[in-house]
Amino acid sequence: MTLSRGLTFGFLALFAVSCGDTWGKKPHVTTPYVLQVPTGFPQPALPEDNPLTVEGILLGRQLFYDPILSLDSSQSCGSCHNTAFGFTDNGLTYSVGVDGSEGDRNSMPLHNLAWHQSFFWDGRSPSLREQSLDPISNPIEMKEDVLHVVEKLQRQPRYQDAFTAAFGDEEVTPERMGLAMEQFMLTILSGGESKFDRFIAGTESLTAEETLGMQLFNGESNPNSPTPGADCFHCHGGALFTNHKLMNNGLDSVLTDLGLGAVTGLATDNGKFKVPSLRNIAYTAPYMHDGRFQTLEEVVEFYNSGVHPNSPNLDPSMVGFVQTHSGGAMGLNLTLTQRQALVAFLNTLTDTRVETDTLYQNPFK
Amino acid sequence: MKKLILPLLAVSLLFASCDPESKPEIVNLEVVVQPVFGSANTPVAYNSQQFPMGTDTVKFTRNDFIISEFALLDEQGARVDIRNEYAFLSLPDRNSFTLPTSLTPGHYSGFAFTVGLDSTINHGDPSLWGGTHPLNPAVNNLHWGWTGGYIFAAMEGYYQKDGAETPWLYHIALMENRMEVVVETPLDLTDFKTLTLNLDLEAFFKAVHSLSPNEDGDFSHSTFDNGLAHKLSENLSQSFRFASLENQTP
Repeated sequence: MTLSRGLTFGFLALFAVSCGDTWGKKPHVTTPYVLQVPTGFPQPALPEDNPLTVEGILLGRQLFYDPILSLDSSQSCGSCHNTAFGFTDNGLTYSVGVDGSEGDRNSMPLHNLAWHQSFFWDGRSPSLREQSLDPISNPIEMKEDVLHVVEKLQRQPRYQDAFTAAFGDEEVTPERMGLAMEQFMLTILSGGESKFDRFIAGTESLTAEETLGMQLFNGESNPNSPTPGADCFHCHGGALFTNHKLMNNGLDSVLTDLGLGAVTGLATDNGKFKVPSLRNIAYTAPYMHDGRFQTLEEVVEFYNSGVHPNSPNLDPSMVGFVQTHSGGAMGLNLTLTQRQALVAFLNTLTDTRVETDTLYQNPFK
Repeated sequence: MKKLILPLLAVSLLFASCDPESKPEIVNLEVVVQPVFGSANTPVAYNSQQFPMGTDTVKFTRNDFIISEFALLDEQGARVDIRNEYAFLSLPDRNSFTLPTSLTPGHYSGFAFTVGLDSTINHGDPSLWGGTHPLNPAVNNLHWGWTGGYIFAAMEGYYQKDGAETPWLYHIALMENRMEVVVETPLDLTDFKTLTLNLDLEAFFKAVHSLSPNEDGDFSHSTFDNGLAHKLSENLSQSFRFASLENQTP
C-alpha cells in the first residue's frame, strides 16, 4: 500500500466513524424562534448552548404553568408570577409557599430577562436555567424534590411528547427542565408598545406633566445646575430602564437583609440588591426587594428625601440623593408637582402586552 | 510521482509550521490594563484599600472605560491606525482586549488610543451593536440613553468626609472630554505579544491638576461642575504608562 493510498483510507475511516452515530436514525428537527427585539433595545446576548425553538419554548411554558412542579400540585411558577400583575405576585408583599410559609422578598417581575446576567434580588443565580429550578426545592416556596418532579413528568404522555419535540427523546432531566423554562422566560418582553415607546417612535405625544417627569427622570441632581433633576437615569437609564447591577440604594442605615452580601460573604456587598427595570412598574406594586412601598408616590418620596447617607455600601451613584441643595435640606428637594410628574412619566412605561399576549398565557386554560 | 505530491505537501507544511525561527506575516496584540497607585506601582485592591489623597483617603470601586481609535506609532512616530476596533474595560475584572490579527509585524515606537469615541459613533444608534459588542449598552452600562452618547470613563469610590465614608463619582462624557492617550515606548511586535499598561489611579487625581473629592467636589456628570470633569479627563489621559511586553502564552 502506498503512502497516498493509506492516507485516503484513513480519511474514509474517519468519515465513517464521525457519521456512524447518525446512520439509520431519524434526525431531530426543531423550529427556530427569532426573538423580536423591540425597537431601540440593545441586542441581547442569548445563550448559545440553548437556542430558542418553538418546541422548547412551548415545553418551558407548560412547565412554568404546571402545578405538578410543587409538593402538593397546588402551585406553579405562574402562581407567584401572574401576567395580570406584570408577572409578579398579585400585589402581595411576600409570596406564600405550599405549606403556608411566607417568603422574605417581594416577587420579581419577569420581562426582558434576555438582557440580565444574574437573577433573584440577591443575584445568586447566574442563569435562568438555574434560577428556574430554585423555587421548586425552596422550602418556603414549592418545597418539592426536583428528582421527584422528574418522575412525575416522565409518567405523563403529554410531557413525553413535549420533551421529545424539544430535545429529541422523552428523557426528562432537571437540566432539560431548566433549559426549557429558560427558553420560555427569555421570550417574555416588555417594550415597543408602551406610551413612552410610542412617544420615542414619534407616533404619540406625552402630556406636559409626563414631559416634565421625563426631564426630571433624565436630569442629574446637581446643586450647581439651574434645572432640577431626579437622577433616576443613572441606575434606570436606557431602553431597558435598568443597569442590571446589584447596588445599595440607601433604604436602611442598619441592614436587616444583607442581599448580595449573604451570597458572597463579603461585607462590601451587604445591602446590595438587583436594580429592577422600571418598565411595567405600574403593574408590579409593592416596591423594593421587601415590598415596603405600596405606591409609586411612596417610592418617589423615598428618593426625594429618605435615602440614608450612612447606609453601608451606599452606591456612589446615589451621591446626588444625599447632596445638600441650596434650600438646606438633604436630598432631591423636588416639589409636589415635580414628584407627581415623575409618577406620571413612570406610568407611561406600561406595556399591556405582558398581560394580553397569548404567548405568555397559561396553556392549560 | 503524482501519488507522492500530497504526502510531500503535508510533510512540508508540517515542518514549516514547526519552524521555531519562522515569523508570522500578521499578528494581533493583546492589551492588558492593570490598576496601580502611585509611581511605585502599588497594586489596587478594589473596594477595600484606602489610599492617601491630600488630606483625604480614597478607595476605588469602579473604573469603567470605552476605548477606541487605536494606533501603533511607527519608528518615526507616525500613527498606524487600527480602525473600527472598540474595547470596554471594567477594572479589575474585565481588564484586557485583543486587537485583531491584521497588524503588520515590526518594530514600533509606541501605542495610542482614545478613551471615548468619535462623534458619529458616540451619537449613533446604540441598539445596532451585537449582544456581546463592547458598545452594546447592555454590556457596558455606559450609555446615557435618550440624553445621548456614552460616558467615556466612569470612576467611582469612597472617601472620608468628617469621619464618615462618603461616595465620590466622576462620569466623564461629552466630546470635549475625550481623552487621547499616547504611551511612547519601543515595541517589538514581530510576533504575537501581550502589552501590559499600568493605569495609575493616583495620577488620575494628580497628573496635571491636583484634585481631591473633599476640596474639588465629589461628583461630576460632566456638566455644571466648574470644569472638574475636563480637568479629570486631562489627568486620566496622562495616567497610563508602559509596564511590560511579553510573548503571548499559547
